[in-house]
Amino acid sequence: MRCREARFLISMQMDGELGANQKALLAEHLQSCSACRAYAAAVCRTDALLRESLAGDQAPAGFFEHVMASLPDQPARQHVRRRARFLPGVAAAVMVLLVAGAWLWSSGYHRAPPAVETPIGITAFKVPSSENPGSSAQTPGEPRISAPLEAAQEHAGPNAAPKTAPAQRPARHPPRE
Amino acid sequence: MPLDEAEVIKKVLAGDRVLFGRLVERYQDRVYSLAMHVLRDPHLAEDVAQEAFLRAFQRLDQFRGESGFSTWLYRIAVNTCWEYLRKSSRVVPRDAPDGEEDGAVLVGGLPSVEERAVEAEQKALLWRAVERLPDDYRVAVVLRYVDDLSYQEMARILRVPVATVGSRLHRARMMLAQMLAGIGLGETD
Repeated sequence: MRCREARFLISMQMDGELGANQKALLAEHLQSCSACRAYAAAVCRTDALLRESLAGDQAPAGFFEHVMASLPDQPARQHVRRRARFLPGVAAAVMVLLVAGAWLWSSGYHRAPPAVETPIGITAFKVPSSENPGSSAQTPGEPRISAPLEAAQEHAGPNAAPKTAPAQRPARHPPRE
Repeated sequence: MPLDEAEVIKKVLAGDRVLFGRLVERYQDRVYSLAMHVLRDPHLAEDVAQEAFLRAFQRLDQFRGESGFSTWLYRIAVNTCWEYLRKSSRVVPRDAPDGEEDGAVLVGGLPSVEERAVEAEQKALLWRAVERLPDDYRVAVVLRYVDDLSYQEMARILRVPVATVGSRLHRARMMLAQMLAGIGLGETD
């Protein structure tokens, strides 16, 4: 073992971090190396002095009282602040949604045309046909995705058309009451 | 009666603010000592130690108990120290001339018992040597001796690999040994 490595192990031994194998190797080296023995003795002395001097440190008088006086009422105050920072944004978003909902309601979107739900979940609207008003004019190749209208339908109340309309329903736009 | 820190923390989070004082009582000397030896300024150390406790209180709900409370608290204290060091841009003289050392001055003002005077002088010289260490080495030394922390705990506090902790302590000891040998305290080859 080289002296450089031995001194690293001496440091680890001071900190109680040395395994049994390394301890044995270090002991073997120290037996034959007076320079490392002297180094180990110096490090031991330094270690003892450092330990003693740090153990005697005390916080100044009044420290405890100052700390306790500086504490806020609640521990997680920063979290409260962080949440509070988002509150105006959330309130604004809710207001926008309410206004948009009211506008949709008043503009008659809730009386959306009847729809047919396809097996894959895409809502298709029936186009009225003059030749055969009772039959669906929707062809399989012409689906229309209408998620917003479908959503509006769900909120349309008792007068709204059912989500899945019977095939013979004739009009695209039901007459207003 | 031993202090059940987990229970104390639970109660503090439930609103018992005064109970936090038990934790302050337990750790105030060590946190102050840590700040004192890292910053080398008693007034600044007091401010930083207070700030560390305040931050610990404010963030107590973030303590998950994965490490000990002391490890978590020391991490806050070390980070607060780093912030102050960065703000003040303090540079530690790594190779100050040996002529600056004048530990003998301390002997005159100490108690008359010779052994205590010599010991106090040695400690003063030692800490002056510690103050000359680079910041990251000095923090490692202080953490090691402030609470007998393991490499694992120190690695958690400093957020570095365990091997880095061992390496920093080893280099710090080599530098200390050299500095102390230069002023007649300690011995190297």
